[in-house]
Amino acid sequence: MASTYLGQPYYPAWLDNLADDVTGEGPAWDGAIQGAAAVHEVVVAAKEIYEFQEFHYAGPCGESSFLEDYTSSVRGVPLYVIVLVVFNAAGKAQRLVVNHRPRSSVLVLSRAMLERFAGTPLAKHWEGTP
Amino acid sequence: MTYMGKPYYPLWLDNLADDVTLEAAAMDGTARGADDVRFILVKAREQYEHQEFNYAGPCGEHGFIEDYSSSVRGMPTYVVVLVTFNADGKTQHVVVNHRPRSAMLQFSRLMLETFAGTPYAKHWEGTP
Repeated sequence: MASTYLGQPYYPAWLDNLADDVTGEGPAWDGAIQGAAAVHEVVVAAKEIYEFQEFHYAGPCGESSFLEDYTSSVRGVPLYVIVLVVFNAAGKAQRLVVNHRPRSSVLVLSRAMLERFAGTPLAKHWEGTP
Repeated sequence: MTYMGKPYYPLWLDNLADDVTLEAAAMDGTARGADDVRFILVKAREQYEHQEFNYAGPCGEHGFIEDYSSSVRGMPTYVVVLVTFNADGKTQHVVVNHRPRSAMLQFSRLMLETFAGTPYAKHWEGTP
């Protein structure tokens, strides 16, 4: 899966700098994913489901946050994403909010994530997706 | 509607570019034009039972972000709004993101009820 920003390969450095008690929230799931191992696993899984990531912006936002704005697709459906990462005083990623749109694409992704995590403790976040 | 314990009003809402666009996790498609975008956003704000802003301020070089907690029909609803300004300082692009999924879908159904029978309804039709 190609992930590019301004024509260059892009990797989210914050993903390797998660606080132990980081939380992950988003419109594509219910509840908050808790803890570095779970959040890392979910983000990596989502990146595997994306068919590409074309970043329009990746940089500072406010005093202690980082924003990513990218275009993607999932199962052929266009998906637009804004990620807000909030750092704690120690500079670790403390809070992650992944905002997908539009609604129909959100649900395609949610169903794909449910399939990916079926039978695992993380599946609860996507169960009940219509 | 409060931010750091004081009343808050989104000034960007009164500064829309003529060709502003609105997208959202709870919508399909894109709403276009100052009149339509303002109308939708004002109706959306009427659905909130409260808005408590955790952050409202600059984001990146030409953006503004709002991060707030709310509730809709008693359901906790969390929102991130990203506003992008054009070279003239007008609001060019608005992205509204509700979460979690259940709250996003409830909000979408509520907006469909609100706009039923109008040309705007297309953005929420088909919400499961």
